[in-house]
Amino acid sequence: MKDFDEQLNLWASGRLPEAERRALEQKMEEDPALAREAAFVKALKCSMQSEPTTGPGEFGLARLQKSLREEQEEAPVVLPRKSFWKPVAIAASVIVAVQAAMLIGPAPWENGSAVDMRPASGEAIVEGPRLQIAFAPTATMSDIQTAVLSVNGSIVAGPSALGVFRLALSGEASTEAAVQTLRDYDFVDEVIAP
Amino acid sequence: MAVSEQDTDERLLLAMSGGDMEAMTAFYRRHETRLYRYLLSKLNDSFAAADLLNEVMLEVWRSAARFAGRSKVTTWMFGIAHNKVLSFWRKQGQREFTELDDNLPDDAPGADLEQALSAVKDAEVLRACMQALSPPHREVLHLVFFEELDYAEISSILKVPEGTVKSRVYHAKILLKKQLTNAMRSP
Repeated sequence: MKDFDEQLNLWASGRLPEAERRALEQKMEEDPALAREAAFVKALKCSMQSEPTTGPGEFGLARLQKSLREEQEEAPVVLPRKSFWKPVAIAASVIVAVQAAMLIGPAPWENGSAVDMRPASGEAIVEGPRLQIAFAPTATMSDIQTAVLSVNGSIVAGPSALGVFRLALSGEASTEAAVQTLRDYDFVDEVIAP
Repeated sequence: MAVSEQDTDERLLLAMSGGDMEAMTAFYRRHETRLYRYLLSKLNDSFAAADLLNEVMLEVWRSAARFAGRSKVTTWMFGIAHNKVLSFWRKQGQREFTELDDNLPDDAPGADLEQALSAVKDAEVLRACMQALSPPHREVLHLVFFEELDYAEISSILKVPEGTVKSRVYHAKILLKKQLTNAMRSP
């Protein structure tokens, strides 16, 4: 009987495939005990399904909705994720790390260190006297170039907000002569020697 | 979401995972009775069943987004209910009835099938006899004959091997027949 147990349950609920149903019913005709068992199972299923049971219904629903509302109110407020500080924090960390490395590591300018520090422009700083020069508003780039090259100088700063450039002269150059040369140009407004 | 009768359980769960209360209401109305009956079959206590019904529905709401679709929604829901009952029993300090006498002898001394058949047709007698069974036996009979679930589905809900379900159903029926027979014999 145990072998047919699951089949009988499926048969009672009408879920046994057609071929199996026919075969089982054939067996029932041949085996009265199996037929009685089938009748019991079917009656059990019918009785259980006809048993009236009423759940909490709308009261249960109202209770559930109340529980849901309470749960939502109790839920911790999750602040929107502020991710903007992360890149800032990473950048700050990198800066601190670089500074620490520079402070802790060997000083690059000491005793022929392998570190060759130079201006970012790649040019050596020109040694020698410095002049300040202001050009006329009508001066062209070509005029400025002519004036600077005529005294073998280099523009090391400027123009400032007032249009003043700083010129560096070569070490051997005469400051007075350079000032005079520059003042001779029509397009030079002012030359100031140190 | 505008909820309709035709919405599948899966669609309702999807809407619930997005916080749709209307979907939760529809889900509750659709499954409340069967879930309550299942809990009652295990607990045999209408108040406890109503409490756990609320807890199960809350858990369904919380877990809707995690439903993976590997089983039917009802199987998943009954699984939640089963776990809730086990937790409930633990809190109550009751044993969990997981260790069952699933190896009972196959015959049922004292059971008379003719008498059992007569008795099983009487709803009141059946109810009383069902209540005399252990919760796991009541539970499997409910899942087989009321919910009409396959043994594989029941195995998934109870998290026991299918062979255990088969054996448990078989023995539950034997014990029920015995109870029914005794009920017919007693004055």
